[in-house]
Amino acid sequence: MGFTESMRRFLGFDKQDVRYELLEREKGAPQHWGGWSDVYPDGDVKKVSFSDDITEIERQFREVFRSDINTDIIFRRFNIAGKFPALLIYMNGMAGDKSISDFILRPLMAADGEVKTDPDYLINNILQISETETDTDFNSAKLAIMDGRTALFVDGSTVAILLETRSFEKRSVMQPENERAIRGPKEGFTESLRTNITLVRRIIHSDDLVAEFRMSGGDNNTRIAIIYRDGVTNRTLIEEIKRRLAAISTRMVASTGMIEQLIEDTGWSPIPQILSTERPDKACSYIMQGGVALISEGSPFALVMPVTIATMMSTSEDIYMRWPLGNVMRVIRYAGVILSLLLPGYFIALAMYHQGLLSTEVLSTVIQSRKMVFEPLPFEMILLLFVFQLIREAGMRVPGSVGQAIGVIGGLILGQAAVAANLASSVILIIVALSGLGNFCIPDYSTQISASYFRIAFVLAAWMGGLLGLVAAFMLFIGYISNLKSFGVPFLAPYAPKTYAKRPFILRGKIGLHHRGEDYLNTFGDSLEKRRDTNQ
Amino acid sequence: MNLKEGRMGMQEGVSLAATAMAVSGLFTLDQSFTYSKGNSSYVTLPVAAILSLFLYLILIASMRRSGSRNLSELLKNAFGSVGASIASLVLFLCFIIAAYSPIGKFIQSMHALYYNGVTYGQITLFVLPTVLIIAWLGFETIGRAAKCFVGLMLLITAINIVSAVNEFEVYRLYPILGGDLRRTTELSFSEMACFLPGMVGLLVTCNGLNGVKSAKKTGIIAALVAAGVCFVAQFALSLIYTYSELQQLFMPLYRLNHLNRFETQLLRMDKLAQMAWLNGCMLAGSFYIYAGSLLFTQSFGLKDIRPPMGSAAVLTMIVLLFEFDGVILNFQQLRNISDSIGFVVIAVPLLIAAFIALLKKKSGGALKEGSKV
Repeated sequence: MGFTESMRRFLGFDKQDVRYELLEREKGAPQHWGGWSDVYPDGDVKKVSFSDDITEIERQFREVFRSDINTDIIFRRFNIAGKFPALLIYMNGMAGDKSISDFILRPLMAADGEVKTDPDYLINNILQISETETDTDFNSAKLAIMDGRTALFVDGSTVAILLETRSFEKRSVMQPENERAIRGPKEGFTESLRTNITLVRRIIHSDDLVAEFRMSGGDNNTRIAIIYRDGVTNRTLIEEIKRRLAAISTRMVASTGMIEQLIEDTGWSPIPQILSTERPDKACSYIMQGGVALISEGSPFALVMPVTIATMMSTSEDIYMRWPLGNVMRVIRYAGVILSLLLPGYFIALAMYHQGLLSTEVLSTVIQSRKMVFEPLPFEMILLLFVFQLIREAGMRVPGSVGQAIGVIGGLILGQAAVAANLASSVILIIVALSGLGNFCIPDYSTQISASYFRIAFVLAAWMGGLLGLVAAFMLFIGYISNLKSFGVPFLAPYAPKTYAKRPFILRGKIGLHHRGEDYLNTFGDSLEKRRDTNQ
Repeated sequence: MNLKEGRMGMQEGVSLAATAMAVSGLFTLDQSFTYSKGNSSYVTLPVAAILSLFLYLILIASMRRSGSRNLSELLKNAFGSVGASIASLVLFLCFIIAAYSPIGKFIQSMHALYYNGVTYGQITLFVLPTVLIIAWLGFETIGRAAKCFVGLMLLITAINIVSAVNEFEVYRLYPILGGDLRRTTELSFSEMACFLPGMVGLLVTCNGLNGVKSAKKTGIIAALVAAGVCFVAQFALSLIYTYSELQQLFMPLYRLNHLNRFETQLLRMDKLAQMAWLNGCMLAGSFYIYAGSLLFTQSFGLKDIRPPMGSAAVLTMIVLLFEFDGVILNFQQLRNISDSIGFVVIAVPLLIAAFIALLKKKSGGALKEGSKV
């Protein structure tokens, strides 16, 4: 391959711009450019059927689960009604011993009279377990056992009866750690997938709410649930999410944080394109509008998609407050973000290049406070921003009250000491503190972090070129977020592009006006096609 | 094909085209030439916008009747492949000049007003890469960014004008319309060069604007908005400065904020206003470079817009640096020629193309609308 060809490949020249689009066009539903009709990778897995001899089945499972060294897996041989040999396989600790002994073993062993070994007969007449299913595939049964269910095999049958016996230790429902609300519910998601789905179903009593289960795609086979409203949520969106989930192929998927990175539109972007929330009420509000939530076993967060910048900037509290108060809160929040992003860079630009824009009083204060400080002004700003991040990181990694103490010590004592030691000036401290406060106004943690790094980029740009550098950097930033999409929805929707909304971008309307979902979600109920069909 | 067109709504299209036209209309005029015999710019600029709109509507009608989905198809229908390529090349160069004009002007203003200690080249290194990157991200991105900034630019322009209301004097309008109707008419035509690139840019990017019909609405609204903004700003300037003062002033809009002495420094918005307009200038530059590159790509059958776009940006940079470093000594003269007859270079081939396409349509030579879609 020559140099020209390698460069062409590297830059991706002549390649079709394939991006999934969700927004409706003037001519109707968008043509899907991503080709989601591709065969799902897990559809290629070959099925392995069972032998009708339970000794052979036991040998197969013992081999797969390495039972010689792995004592967690339990194989229990017994006779149904004292006549028919059977085998139970389950994972110790994942399946509940009591339900196995009381509702599976006891009725099967104690059965008398005319007993048949047909799976349907056993399920309908003897087994006292509410959730059961049959499967003929070895791999499905294996996954079910690892998930905490119990597999029952009867000699002479090639069908496995999978019984719901999951019972493992889990944390109880507690208040969300990072998204507290004064007026809202105090429940947060837990690490149990089942509990989390229950929390969602407790809020949405709707027959169209669907929870589709599948494996995450990692070698650890974590179960995930895709939750959406069937008939409301756009079908191509659901298919696209499934396609991206199916394409995951990695060693381990431990949490929703990893799934988020594996399925988002632009993986290298510092700004997240999926909302991660620990509040069931917040997840439910997006599901009701036509969004999709994704919950994973072992993660106390739900992923919500698609999202826009407005989603990232809203909290549950906004809707629980009266609309004027909610709007004031939102405006303050957006002002805080602008302050957080631009204030340090703007100050550097003015102080270094455009002193004419500062009044004599401010300028003399700056000069006075920096008289004995040895570092250059931009370096001092970056250093303090770095220290601020350091305090924040340290405060988060240590337990609750100690973390708060670190914040106070870092903020007050370290700040004062730094000024006294002429390591920092008080003016810059105030600017960094204001910028930090503005940063904390961002409700989403990942967006908060990315904003804190963007502001350092703005400081560097202002250092290099004053207001010109800052304007160029801000233009690039706006260009970048204009180009960003979350599952085919532009990140600046419903402002740019303008989609249907009864209220301005930042503000929210009265509760009574919230009949329709967000137009950019292109929900089935609101689509042009549906309206055309209805009119016909 | 990677043309980075995407799909853009009407609001973004209007914001983009109106910003590009208003920036060209307000900031690229040669003040010594425009105000040499009096100030009629508050009439000539809106009239130029309306004339450009008229030409635009003729082209749109011709495209619809000949079934052309964008300007390159219209040119192909009219002139054939070779003729269309030549016309596209000419228009591509016009777009480069249209991008260069406001960028060059703003770089000069930055150098004169803030950064006189550095070279033009250093300022260019901040502006032009930004313009290229925004264009590189595609048409959708340029439009959305334009919508994000259009409100800020309008607000800052309005504040600047309102802050100078106390200085308004009607006698400064004398001589009314420059006292010379013929010259006013000439200026109205020559100033079409400020508006035509924006309008033609919309024709080139018809696919991204959801088709010719949508582009028509977008163009009409954008031209009217640009005409309105130019009228208000130029009329305010006419009430504040006499035409002889305007001849001497470099970027007079910038100076409006200097007319009042505010008690607080917080209201000293002159530099901030300049920076907000710089955003408009960069967006206009990105739009022109994108539109020119798209036309080139379509006409020459390329599959990717990025190589011509990179070339266009490099070409713009070369022209800018040549001017600033004095390599082209008579650049001002060239610029004056471009200002006075630039519109002819754009308008005439397009008008010819429109009529030929219509004639072909009448004789059944062109495709019916929809047959290609």
